[in-house]
Amino acid sequence: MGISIFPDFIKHYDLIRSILRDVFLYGCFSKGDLESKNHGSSRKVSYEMRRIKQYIEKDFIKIDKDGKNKLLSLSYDDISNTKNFLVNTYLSKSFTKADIILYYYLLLILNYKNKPMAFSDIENELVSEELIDYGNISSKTIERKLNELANSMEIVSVKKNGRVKEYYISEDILKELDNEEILKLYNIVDLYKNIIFPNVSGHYFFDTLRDYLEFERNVIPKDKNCFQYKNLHFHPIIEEELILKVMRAIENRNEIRFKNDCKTTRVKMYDNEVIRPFKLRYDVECGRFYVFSFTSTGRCISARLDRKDDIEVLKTRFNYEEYEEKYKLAMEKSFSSVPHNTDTPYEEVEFEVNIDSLNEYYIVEKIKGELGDCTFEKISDTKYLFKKIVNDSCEMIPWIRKYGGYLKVISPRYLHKKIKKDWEDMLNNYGVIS
Amino acid sequence: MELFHEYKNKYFHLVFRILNLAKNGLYKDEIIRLIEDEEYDEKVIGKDFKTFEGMILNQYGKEDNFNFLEEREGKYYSILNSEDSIPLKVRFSKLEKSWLNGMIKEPVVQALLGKETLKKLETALTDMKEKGSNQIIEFTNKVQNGFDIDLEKLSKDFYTILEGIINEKPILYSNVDKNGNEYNNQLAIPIRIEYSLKDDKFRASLYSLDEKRSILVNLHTLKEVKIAKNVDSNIKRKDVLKKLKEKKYSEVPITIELEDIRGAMERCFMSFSSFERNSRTISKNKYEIDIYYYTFEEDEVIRKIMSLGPYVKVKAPNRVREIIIDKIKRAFMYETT
Repeated sequence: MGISIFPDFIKHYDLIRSILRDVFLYGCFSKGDLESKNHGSSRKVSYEMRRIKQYIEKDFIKIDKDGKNKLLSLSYDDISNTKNFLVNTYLSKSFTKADIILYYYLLLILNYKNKPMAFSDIENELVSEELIDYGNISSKTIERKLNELANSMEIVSVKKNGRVKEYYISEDILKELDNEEILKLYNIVDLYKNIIFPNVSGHYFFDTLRDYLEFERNVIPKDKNCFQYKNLHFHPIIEEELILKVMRAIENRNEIRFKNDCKTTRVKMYDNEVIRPFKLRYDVECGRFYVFSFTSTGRCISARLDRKDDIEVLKTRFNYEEYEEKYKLAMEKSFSSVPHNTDTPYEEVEFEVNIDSLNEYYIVEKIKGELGDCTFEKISDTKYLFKKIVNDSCEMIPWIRKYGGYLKVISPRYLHKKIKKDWEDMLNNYGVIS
Repeated sequence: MELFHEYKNKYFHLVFRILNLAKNGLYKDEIIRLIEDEEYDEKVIGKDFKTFEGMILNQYGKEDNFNFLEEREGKYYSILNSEDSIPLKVRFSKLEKSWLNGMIKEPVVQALLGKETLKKLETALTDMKEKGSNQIIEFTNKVQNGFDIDLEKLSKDFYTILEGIINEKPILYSNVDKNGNEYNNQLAIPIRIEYSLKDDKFRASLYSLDEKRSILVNLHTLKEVKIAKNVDSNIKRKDVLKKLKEKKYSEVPITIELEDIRGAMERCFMSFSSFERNSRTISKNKYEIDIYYYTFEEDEVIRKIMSLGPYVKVKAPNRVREIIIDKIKRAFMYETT
């Protein structure tokens, strides 16, 4: 009973998390490369690669050859495919025979009886239907499973009748909605399952809603693939277990501790230190998640979630409101992810934008939109001056380079020199100058 | 409940479907088909060569079977089957309710749901302990729109276009483009609704029957949109998407060479994660990536390459390489003046 059923299932998601990230994002690493990246022994890497191939639809799996080495990669174009296939990797947690039979026996009994039942009545029913044998499953295990369905899942509810706890199938949260309203909700969820985090929870909701429509309302919605996305990254899904942990810790005001098992040269500052999580920040450009927390000394720190192996949520709580003003001071002017912790002033970045003609005015509008809070002055129809206060102007470098040819840094001078040097190096790379 | 949980294993869901579909009895072949559609290649369970199919269909001893189904006159039924209801009611888990609670806080979602439905959902979720608030997530590199969106109009247009997509009906629309040009009563087949995470904008991907080409229009610039009555078109959505791939997808990819300095590799691969690509290692810390793209995305790809700075170099095709060199020359000249 206690033996895990399938060899392709895994007990913990972190077993495949880092390999999946390397395979999906990069796709240029051979088995040997993955081994040397601290993913474990050759056998372990082979197993995980095999599992990834099982979990993901064949259409997205590419196997290229680099000499003798096979390279596994996952790739798609975002118009032909709008489905985040990485979600499938979450449908693979290992379970035992006891897990699956108890889950369904308990639900079948509560559904069949359709009334609140005490644990002893449920147990009697299991025995009279000859569904369990106490030689294999203990009464404690059954009770534990039932409480999991009630407390952790909430698909079963519990109420007290005198001193006895009674269990029943939870209320239908959509019972007040008519079919038209549910179909509307179905379309909205279809769109937003990839937008609202955690996306995996959104996909779970969508799948359950489809079941709900089919079995509770006898409606099978037309699967028309109505939505597509721009700037949607699939890979944040890989980190969503950690994202959810942080979301819950922030909501419940729990202190946390980052765990990092990796022996490579990652930033390990503040790992294993008790910190107070305050906000999550998502970088739309790269699909990166940062968590901003405060240390015991009140310092605001930033950490990339994809560089952490785990997060321990502690029972100790903190006063969230105490950090609201501090967070504002530290992060309000951050262009991306660098906090401002010192008494030194913020930096002012000044730059000029030059367009060829009024037809290109949309570039000025775009820059304005991307900068958000800034000052803007029109010099002429084709020339504009911008000023932006930031924590650290170096954070703006990739953004500035994106507008190369339209944008010139005026101050600070070191930033202007850095950008000029970048263009010079690039011309050098292309052999235009030497 | 954790995100990675055995109850969300696809084989759990398979059992759920079989049990509910078996309310009126399922033939063995039907059950086998349901299993074959879902199960992984590896069919053998554990060390004793039993299969999931065999355990569902009670093909082993009672102790080894799942005993979820019983056979009566050649059909399989749930072991506990009531005439009045399905064997397993569909209920949303705590995790799913918490996500829904987060979603209905979004202003656009509230407009799309409408006040009445929103109220019903809010009431149903009142007792939720875990609120699933998305307010704790901020966004960076996101564009702020310099205008207010009329949510009521957006919602109305959204559903008109959606109706056109679902029922494959052409639409008539009037729009103002970014240069202020007006296009009135344009006939088009709606293909998809696009949402951009960067600028929070909705766009409609259409096939213009007047211009006979695929176009993208902003929902917020639409003056009017309605279902075109009495207009039939034999052009199908799937054919438009197929044609788009055939005609507008790059025949040759952009090949870039990348040197992994200061996290450039990570930044590069992350920013191109939604593009089809091939990659290979050339030498230590040097990589080559082929990026495939739709031709209308070329400017975006070039901007992304520019933003990566001196750690990335375009190797091919020559045409794109020349465009990039010209842009860098212009950038250098401007920065030097």
